[in-house]
Amino acid sequence: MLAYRAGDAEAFTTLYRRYRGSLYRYLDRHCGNTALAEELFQEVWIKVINARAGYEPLARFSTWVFRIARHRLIDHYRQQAPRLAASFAPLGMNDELDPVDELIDQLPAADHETPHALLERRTTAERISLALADLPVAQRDVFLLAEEGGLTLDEIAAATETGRETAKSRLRYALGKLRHSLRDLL
Amino acid sequence: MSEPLRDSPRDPKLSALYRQFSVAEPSAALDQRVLAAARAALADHRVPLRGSWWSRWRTSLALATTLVLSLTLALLHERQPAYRSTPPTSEPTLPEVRRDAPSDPLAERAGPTPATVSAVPAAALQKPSAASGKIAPSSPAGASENEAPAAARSTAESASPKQDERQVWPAAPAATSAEAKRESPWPAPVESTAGVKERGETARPTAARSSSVLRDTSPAPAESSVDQARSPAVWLDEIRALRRAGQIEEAARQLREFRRAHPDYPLPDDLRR
Repeated sequence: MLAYRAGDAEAFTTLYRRYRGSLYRYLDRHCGNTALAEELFQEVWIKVINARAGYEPLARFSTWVFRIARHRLIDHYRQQAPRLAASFAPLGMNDELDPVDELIDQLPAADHETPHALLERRTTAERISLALADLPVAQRDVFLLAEEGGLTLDEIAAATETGRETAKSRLRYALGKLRHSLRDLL
Repeated sequence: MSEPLRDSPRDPKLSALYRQFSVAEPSAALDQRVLAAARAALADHRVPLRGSWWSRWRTSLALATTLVLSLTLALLHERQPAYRSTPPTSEPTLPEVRRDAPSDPLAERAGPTPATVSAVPAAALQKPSAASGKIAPSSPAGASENEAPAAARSTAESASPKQDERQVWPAAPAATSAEAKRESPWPAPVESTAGVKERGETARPTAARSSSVLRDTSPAPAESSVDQARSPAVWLDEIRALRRAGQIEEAARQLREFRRAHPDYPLPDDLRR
């Protein structure tokens, strides 16, 4: 990014190729709409391009670019549904004691997500997508940041503007639910 | 790096399954759009560098322009009193006029006719002296010597010729001269120069001399232009002389007129009291 800021267009190409897939999937998994994901994806990269002059390597580029993507998603959800945006908002340190999360954790997987029904109707990829879609937004966000962005817990905490323990708890819940939903595939 | 990963919740099997079936990628067209935008941004960045000359220098240019304008205005403002002093510069001779005016009614009448005065060329300035030599050849050399400085209006000698004038000419009441000044503020300088000229011409008022005054008023413009160059200082000296002579009221009135004529002229401390 520093090379691109200095005027090296090829440096941006390298950077883009390295993160294009993971960033796109992060957006696609979140919004579940290919057209919208492409629109958001382009907007995120335009923001990266426009922010090159003020870019300082305070963190890994992946942390920075996924943080931009997350903020763009929040903006989108604010425009579409304030309730969804609120679910993105950072919670307090007692997030792991959130009764909603505990309730979700105790709920069984939906009937349409059972392996038999899904194997008949959809491919495994679709099942994974649905399993992700069933996750609470905050948990899905943490899971995607870890899987697609390769961010550590500290980086996830910084990107989501929460505490490290909160991010860790959300990731644990997300993994548990996905294991439960996809247990026949594991 | 390994420390944060160690306590991080992980499920390698789930991660492998997720990555195996997560192969969605942006379209090639989208890739091209983003890469083109990145290149365009670099190209746009170079254009402002070329065009940044104005943005870099506009502040300096604006300051320089402001400075030049301010200096020009200041210079014009400094020169302005010189222009404004043109009409009033003839006023310092007013006291002499007022002293001289009652003594020579013909000259007083000749005063308000500047057309006749200006019609005569400045070369005629030399004429009165020659005429005076003819008219009053018997005038004492001492008198002409005493009055020559009055014509020259040197600052130091300006007081003594007036005393001579007072001796030669009958003392004029101050009220009369003030009235003459009020009635004709502008023609008076011409008249005064005529009177001054007269003083240079001869010290004795005669009927022939009175008629020659009408002719001799012609050099007044040229002479008044000489007065204009030094009028404020000369005027102030005359005011000082009036004070020294004990004519306090006259001096005060002259000072008021001076301040009206030269509002920007710094008044000396001795005259402020």
